[in-house]
Amino acid sequence: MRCENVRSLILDYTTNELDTEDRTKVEAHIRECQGCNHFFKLANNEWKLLDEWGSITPKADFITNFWNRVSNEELNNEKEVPNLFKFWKLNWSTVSALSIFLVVGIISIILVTSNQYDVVYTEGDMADEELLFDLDRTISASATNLLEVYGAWDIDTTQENGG
Amino acid sequence: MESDIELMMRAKTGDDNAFTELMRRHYKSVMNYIYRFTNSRENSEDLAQEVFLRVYRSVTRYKPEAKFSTWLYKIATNVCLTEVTSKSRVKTVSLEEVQENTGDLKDSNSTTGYDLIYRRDIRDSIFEVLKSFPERERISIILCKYEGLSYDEVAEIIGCTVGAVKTHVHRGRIKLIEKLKPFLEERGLK
Ligand SMILES: [Zn+2]
Repeated sequence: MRCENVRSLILDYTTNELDTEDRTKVEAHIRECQGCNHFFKLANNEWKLLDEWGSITPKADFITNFWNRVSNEELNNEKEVPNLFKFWKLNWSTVSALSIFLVVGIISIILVTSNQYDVVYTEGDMADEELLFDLDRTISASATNLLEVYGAWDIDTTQENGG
Repeated sequence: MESDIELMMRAKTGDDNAFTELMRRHYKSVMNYIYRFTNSRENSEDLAQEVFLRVYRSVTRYKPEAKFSTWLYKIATNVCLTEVTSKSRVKTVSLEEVQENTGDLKDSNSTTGYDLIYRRDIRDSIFEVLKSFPERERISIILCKYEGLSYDEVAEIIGCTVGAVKTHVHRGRIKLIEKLKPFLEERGLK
């Protein structure tokens, strides 16, 4: 039997996991093989050494402390619930204010846009328009060419040439 | 005697006495399991409470598919891993704390200063070696050696095959033998 395989069996031997047949194999091998014999002793000591890291005993009030912790948490949750509602109240008031604002806004926009169609065309407006036409007519053809870079210029050049 | 599952089903209906009984059965194991990850008594007690709080909070979602203890160890493992990854600091231990922490060692009639330091050395050495292991090796060794669980149970807790658990334990033990050699040889190779 190869030492490598025996090492694995040795580990199981020290934890009483082997059947009689494997135990006999291990015992026979470690009688003959010094290396495995040394490993066997180390492994045996190691598993026992781990026991020297003793366990701890919890304090007697572990369970009482647990329930205290649960009650504290529940208390905190109860405290949080009204806060949550406060938050919601605040939120609802904000939401209502916002909706009123929106409704008023929408109504005003509708009113303003609908008024646009009722604009009265006065004589003053006609005079303003006439002034703009005059301004257009005074622009020379060369200026029009220069202004071409800004796009099409709606001007009646024939009228200008004629005048 | 009622089984853990029966108690858990009662706890699910809001019976806190059933939950107390479950805790009474398992809190020592849970606390000691955590202790192998933290090497601190105070911290372990606090984290064990955290484990039971998590169980308590999720009691309504419990389905009796697996053994209760398997489920409990899974939660405890998560708590431990979160703790060790968040606080990977090395804690220095005073002699007073050692005396306070040695727990059951007090029963072994060895309370001289030298003995305590020697035991602290062993404890801290084992802790440090285990800490250096990959997670699954560490968990497997702790669950098998200190919690006395079978390979099957460990496999279910960490979600791998029984063969893999055995490999984890063997690898871990070989490393422990290697690193704890001074202690092992000091004890004599009978
Ligand atoms: Zn050999």
